[in-house]
Amino acid sequence: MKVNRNICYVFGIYFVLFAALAVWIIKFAAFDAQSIIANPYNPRVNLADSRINRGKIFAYSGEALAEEAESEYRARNYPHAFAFAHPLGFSGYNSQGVESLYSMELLTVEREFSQRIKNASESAPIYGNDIVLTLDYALQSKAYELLEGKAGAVVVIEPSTGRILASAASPSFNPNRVDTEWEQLLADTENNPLLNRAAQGLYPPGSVFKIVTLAAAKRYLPDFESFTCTCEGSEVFDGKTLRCYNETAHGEVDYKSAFIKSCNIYFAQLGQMVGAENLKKTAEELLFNTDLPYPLEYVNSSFAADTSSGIAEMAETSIGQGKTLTTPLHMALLAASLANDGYLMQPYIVDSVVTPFGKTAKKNLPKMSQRLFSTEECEMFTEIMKGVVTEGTASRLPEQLNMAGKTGSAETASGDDHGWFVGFAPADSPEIAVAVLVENCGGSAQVLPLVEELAGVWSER
Amino acid sequence: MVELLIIASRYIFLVLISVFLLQSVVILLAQNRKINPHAAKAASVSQRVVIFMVHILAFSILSLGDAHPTVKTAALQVGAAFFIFFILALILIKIFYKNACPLIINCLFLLMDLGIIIITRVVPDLALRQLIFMAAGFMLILFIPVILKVIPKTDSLSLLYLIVGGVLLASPFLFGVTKGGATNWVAFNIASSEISFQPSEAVKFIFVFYLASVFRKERKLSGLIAPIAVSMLFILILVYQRDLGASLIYFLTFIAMLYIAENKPLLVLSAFAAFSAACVIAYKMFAHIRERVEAWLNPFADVADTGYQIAQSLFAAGTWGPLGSGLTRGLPGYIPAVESDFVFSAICEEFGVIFGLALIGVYIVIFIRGMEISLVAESKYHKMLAAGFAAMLCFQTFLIIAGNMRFLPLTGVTLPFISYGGSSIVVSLSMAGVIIWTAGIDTDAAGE
Repeated sequence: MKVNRNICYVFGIYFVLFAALAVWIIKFAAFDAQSIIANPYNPRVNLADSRINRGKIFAYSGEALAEEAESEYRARNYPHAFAFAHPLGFSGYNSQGVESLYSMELLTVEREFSQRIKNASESAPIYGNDIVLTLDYALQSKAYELLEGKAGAVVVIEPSTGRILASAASPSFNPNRVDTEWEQLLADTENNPLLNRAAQGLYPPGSVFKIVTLAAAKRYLPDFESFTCTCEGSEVFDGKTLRCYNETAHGEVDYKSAFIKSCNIYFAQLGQMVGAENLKKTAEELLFNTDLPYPLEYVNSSFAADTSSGIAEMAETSIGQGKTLTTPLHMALLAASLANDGYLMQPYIVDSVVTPFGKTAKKNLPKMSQRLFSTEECEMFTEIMKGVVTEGTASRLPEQLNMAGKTGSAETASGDDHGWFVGFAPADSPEIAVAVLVENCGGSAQVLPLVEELAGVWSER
Repeated sequence: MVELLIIASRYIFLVLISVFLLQSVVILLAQNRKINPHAAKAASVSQRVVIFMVHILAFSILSLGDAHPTVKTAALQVGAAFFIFFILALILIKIFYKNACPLIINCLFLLMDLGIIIITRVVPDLALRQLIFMAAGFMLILFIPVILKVIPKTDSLSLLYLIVGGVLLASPFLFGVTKGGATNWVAFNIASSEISFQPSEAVKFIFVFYLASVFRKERKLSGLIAPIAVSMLFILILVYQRDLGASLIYFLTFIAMLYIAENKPLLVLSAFAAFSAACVIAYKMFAHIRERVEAWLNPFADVADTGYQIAQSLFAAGTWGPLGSGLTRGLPGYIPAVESDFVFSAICEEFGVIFGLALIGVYIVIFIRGMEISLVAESKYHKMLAAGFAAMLCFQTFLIIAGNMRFLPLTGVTLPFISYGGSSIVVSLSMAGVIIWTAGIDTDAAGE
């Protein structure tokens, strides 16, 4: 009977819809929920059960970074206040960083039944789970120490895994006192201590952007290797005068020598040849104007030039000036993928969640995010980035560090140039990728001593 | 001690609803004679024990726990009153129905119990009122056989249904009140107390009766013009009153019944095409629809304003993990309109998402049973009635749960049998009542 058959069809469709809904709900609860609940509009995250001792947070090397203070009224204690403040964040009102994102984990009570019974009968404290970060205590402390008194940021990533070994920013703040100093911290617009410059500070990339321009040339100009030009230290592009650093005349340069000596004239011309459309496309493939796979708060880099941009703007954009803005985190991710055969590993900062009983409740494993460069591109960049360190703009870095990198001195509207260094080491089997930025320090020459000391800490371990 | 009870209850509720679902399968198999039919009786009894245990456990937590004092007082009264209602209902249903499907009755009571638990939890002042509406709705279930016997030939009254339905639906234009952005309420002042109800709820009932009476005989294509025009008129009135949820439910019920009765897939497909076009036009025309769609696509973009409600719903369901926060431990009160539109999220928050999935299972059991009743019904009219009401409840349930969990854009309809709302609970129960009645008719007929 057709009516009965149709009834079965109609309800069959309904039941399929319900099955799809159930799958959606399972997917939501198992995968999506974790990433949405840490939101300032979710009051549940801060609904701490006053009987639960929030879990501790440790550096990967074992040092406690956050723990409950042993006082009458409980408060959070951050023993290494300033150095870890930005990635770690703080709990409570306005909470940020790991403390905010992983708040639920820190308040999750393992073996809840037995802990609650003990609490009721012997008034034993109830402990939440602890968190172990990927941060390396020595590197992070050194990074902050090197930045102290300056404004800037350091990001260190392990290229083969995406583990964040250090993420420091300065000026910093004391998370032990955010409650009392909150208003002052907010009002200090000159130093902006709450701004995590590593992931939320937007800067012109300067010559570091030549990595993007060269990658675009490699992708879209088949004969770019044979292109040379003669640099006389400065050149006028449609009324706009571009200068090489100190107006040094580099003479006849090809892509290798121009990259190693950081010749602006060469790259301004190369960028014109690549064209706005291709340069923009490559920049977006390299994560400009795109979300980064980063767990904590960050801002997107922006690449603004397009086909309507004039010659002057294209020339500036090709050498990392103009309207292009980026973060040290983003540049570190580019360095990390160059050091890992082009594969960008998803950066992560929480290594594991450990119960008070010593069991690992959750372990984050390395995940591939996406491929940014081809093997051929990586080989090219490794060679010329080694050249930057051996004979180019970063030649003051000692040979035994065996680094590869790119310097940058970004002109700013006000004050001295920002100094950049982006690179990895050891050049042939990289273990770390770094991005260092110091605001208004005069240029990359002032950043290199920091890189040297930082790499020294790593090689001593 | 209540602490421990709450922690334990997260597991116990899950075990209880699992037992309930398992027994549902036993009853479904027994009713289809796949296993010994006598197994159904024992399974039905154990389902009632499950409901009883859910009730006792939940109301113990609500009345003993550290909830707000108003919750505690309400919990004692409402908990006891619902218990009496449950017992009386089980006795009365035996008197009024010779063969009422025990499975549907048990599912209805489990859902109503969860409804009264969650309403006592989030809006204790309204719980007793809701219980009264539940009792009124159940009285209607009891009297449906009598009413349908007194009114002869309900299948030939299509014109009457049409007039009454049309007048009721249009009544908000005269006595309308705007609630939640939709002008779909009617309010009267009788003896200085305001009585308000939602005509779109009541007309759902009439609408299915109308379609069943029209479709009881095979019709030519020309004979379909009238029902299509009438349905479109009803739906347009609802769209005009901005009652999007109801208009969707009407439309899909109409499509389902049209397809079942007339077996014209092409007609159904063209109706869907026209519907899609209407959706696009509506999206372009109405700002409130665009707002809903945007809140659905990205609730966190404007979490402070348009995305707030759906974001809170997702926080509620997502924050506490698969077992939920435990009853009284969550913050469901942060979801605007939690007691009417977002009860599913509130249940997911405090009972856990796994419990929420099991709850969907309970609805599925009702719909499977509704489908079976419609399949074995003797006349086409009764088939259409049972299938129409089951389909209507089914789609409404799907629509609101999908809206709560951001599977579809939100349409403000109630979750049948659980949500707070007088018109909704009375009409939903009446619909279930017709399904139960249809099942009884044929056993009577077979006995004659």
